[in-house]
Amino acid sequence: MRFWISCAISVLLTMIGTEFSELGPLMARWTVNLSARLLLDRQLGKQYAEEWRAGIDGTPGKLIPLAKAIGILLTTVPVLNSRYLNELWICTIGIRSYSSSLREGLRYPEQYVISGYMLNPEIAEDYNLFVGEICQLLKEGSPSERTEAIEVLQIILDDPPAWVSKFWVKWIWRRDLPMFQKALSARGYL
Amino acid sequence: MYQLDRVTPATLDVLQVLIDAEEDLHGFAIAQAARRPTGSTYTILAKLAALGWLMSYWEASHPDEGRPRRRFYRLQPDGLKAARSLLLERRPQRAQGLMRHQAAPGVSEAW
Repeated sequence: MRFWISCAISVLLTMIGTEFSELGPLMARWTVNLSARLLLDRQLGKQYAEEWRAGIDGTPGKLIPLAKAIGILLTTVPVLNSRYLNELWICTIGIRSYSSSLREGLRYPEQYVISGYMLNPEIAEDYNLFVGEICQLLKEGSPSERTEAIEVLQIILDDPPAWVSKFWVKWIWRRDLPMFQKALSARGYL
Repeated sequence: MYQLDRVTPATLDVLQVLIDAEEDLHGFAIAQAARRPTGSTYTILAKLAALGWLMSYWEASHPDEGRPRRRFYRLQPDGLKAARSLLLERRPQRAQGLMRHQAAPGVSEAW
């Protein structure tokens, strides 16, 4: 009796294994599509969706593509997302310091907050020094220079560096810029 | 172009493959040649691309219409220089091979 039960189980397992391996390529495609959709960087997600599908299609075997797809889902997606969030966080810090350096600039022009940017620290430094110069103009410049500084500020908000989050630009547009203009008008600068 | 903040053995393997490659490779081929999991290879490629070491491009056309396109990777000239010096520094035992490769006629033009 035991012999027949073990035979039945092995046949059943073989059938399940065969079915599963037949589904392997399909599941691999589904997994890489899911991985690409899970990437927070949408542009990179679009690129990888096609690139990974091409890689999976070109991988021989039925279960190896699935193993590779699962590897991408478990390794690449969390690492790239954490990197993206880290960059976003640093951008946020950059924008906050940008915003606070302007506020400070109205009072203490000699103190500028220099923000860091993981991948492009030189750009971040240039950017912050540039903002510092605007602060200095707002504080110490002539009325025409102050007006120009506000215009420059509006221009850099319209066309911020690529690494600056759009969300924070909108936030500054809505909240900080009117506040700066109001403060400068109240002081007779504008 | 920016420097790598953390260099792992997997990163060195991927760089080695990119340097040794006689033609541009796609991500899965790089993973296979480096004998590294595809998932970790892609994180390294993304990092190298973000640092400006790598450039990538879609394959121009594929014989099977409708099939997804592959994306090929190639070290930028500055990236190639930096990768070579990094490998010479971290894996001196392979330095001779690298130097030989560097001196091979036509290789530098290909990059």
